[in-house]
Amino acid sequence: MLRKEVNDLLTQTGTATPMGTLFRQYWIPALLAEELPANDCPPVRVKLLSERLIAFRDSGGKMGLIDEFCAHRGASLWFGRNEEGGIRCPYHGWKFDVSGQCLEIPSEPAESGLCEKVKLTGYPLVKIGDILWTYMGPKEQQPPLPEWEFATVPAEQTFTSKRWQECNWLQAMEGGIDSSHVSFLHSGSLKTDPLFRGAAGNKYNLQDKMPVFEVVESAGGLFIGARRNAEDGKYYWRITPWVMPCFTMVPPRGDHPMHGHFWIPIDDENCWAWSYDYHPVRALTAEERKAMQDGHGVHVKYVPGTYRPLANKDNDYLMDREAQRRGDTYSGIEGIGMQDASLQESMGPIVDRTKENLVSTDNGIIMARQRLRKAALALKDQGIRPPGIDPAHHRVRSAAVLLPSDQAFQDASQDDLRVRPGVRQSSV
Amino acid sequence: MTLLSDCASAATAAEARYRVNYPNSRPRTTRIVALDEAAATAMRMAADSSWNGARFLVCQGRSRGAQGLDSIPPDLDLRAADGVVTRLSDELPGTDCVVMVGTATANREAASIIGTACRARGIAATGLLVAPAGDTAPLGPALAALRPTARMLVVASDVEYIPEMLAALRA
Repeated sequence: MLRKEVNDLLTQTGTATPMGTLFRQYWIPALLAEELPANDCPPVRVKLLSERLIAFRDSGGKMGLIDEFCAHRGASLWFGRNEEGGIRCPYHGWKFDVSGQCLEIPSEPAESGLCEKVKLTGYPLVKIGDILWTYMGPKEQQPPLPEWEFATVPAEQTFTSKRWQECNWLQAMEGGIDSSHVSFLHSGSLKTDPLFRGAAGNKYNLQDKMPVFEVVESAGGLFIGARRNAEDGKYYWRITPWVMPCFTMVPPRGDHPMHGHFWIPIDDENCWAWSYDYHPVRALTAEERKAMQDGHGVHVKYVPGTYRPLANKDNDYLMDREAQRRGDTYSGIEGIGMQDASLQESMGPIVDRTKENLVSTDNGIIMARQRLRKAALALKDQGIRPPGIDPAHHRVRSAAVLLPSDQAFQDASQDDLRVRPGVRQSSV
Repeated sequence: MTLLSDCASAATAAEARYRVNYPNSRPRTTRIVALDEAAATAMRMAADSSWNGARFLVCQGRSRGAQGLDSIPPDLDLRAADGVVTRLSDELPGTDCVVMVGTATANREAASIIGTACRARGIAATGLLVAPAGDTAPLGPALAALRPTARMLVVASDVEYIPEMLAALRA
């Protein structure tokens, strides 16, 4: 249960809100690099943290994210002409560069100096991995660039996708740190999905549906360990890192690529679910990459020409009751990503957490909320920068390990939970 | 095939407003037990708030039997906020959830007795160890004592987490 005022605080990310200010401390994914494929390519409308923006790549290859609307009379620059080092509003010809600086006002004499006085809000766009990252906070506080392992390994080892999720970012993110649903909601996929099946550890998920949890704080967020019984007095641990505000990594399965998510607010009722898959030490196979492109694993099939899932709320997520009855899928929805998203969206755009009945095994969620709330208020009231900004906090991994029953994962798996370049993930 | 008779989809803000408004659970009975004095101090701060019947207790040690020997089966003396001492075996009937709060010096025998008693009665036991930043005392022994019987173990750096968690659990 969460009081309404705390729910509001955590779920509202517009400008001048505490959580919005917190999100604006971080580099966050804004677009896939494929969305701005070439110099002078069409601009892209982007809404992030309730701000309507336009992304474009100019004639020289520079990229930027600026206010969507022309400073003159507010027409959308999505209709603009992207040419000769800037984007030009087709209404009266005002032209802006990637920083939002006005370059030309054709109706005014150049010597008037008006154009130097006109500037749209602009944010940087930096390509790291398959993603164009932006930072929407105060320029003087811009942190070092992110160093997430999935984005910094060679291109042949990584794959990223995104999908539109029609609910608030927090309820989507909370699904990512709630390991106990895997044994139910995703049980069918553990047996059939090409990016999950065959791992030795899957049997522990399917045999023991009452995992025991341990939650410990990390410098950047949390480690959430889910423990299940294994053979010979050992425990099978699946350890999920959560890094503030919204990064998670799913514990690996066998030698399958590792995967995880960011949940980035579009506005308070929509978010982008970013999904990545990578292997720390080898290229993805052609079959793996094809499976990801085809929407397997944590990825989805799209409505053609969009990043909206093909299974979505308008078609009841292509619910298949027969598949549910047969046990092919536990919920009747195909695909791990949409199994999660369908239920999270079903809660409503912003779930009313005053009605929920959390139990002790939800402590990962409870602690994540507490850390977010404290960080947002410390930033607002005392100017204290939140955890998760330091690139050192990005260098984490999830792990799936077998440990003797008397060992604490936070001690025994310290090396498993940090990035070790050139070293394979710790997985069962 | 989905029938067209469905008249509502929860996935819009407008439809979400029609969620039936009623209390969807009855009050839970929660016992919070401090396993050492440092934990008792932290717990007392939380106990001052208003709760839904939660009882805050401090572990006093093993109960004694008639001849002054340790009670069998093992039982614990627990001191309530009003100073009255009760026994674990008297506190557990009707309890839904027990939260054990401790630090590195947590009474491990007490943790084991509480956890075992909860398991025998089908009560969810949670262990919350508070380790303030900079406190280097090893938590391993306390964790090891809690691990066999707690359904959830949490290590928090901040005593404020105690009321936060209890509120979330409707204690």
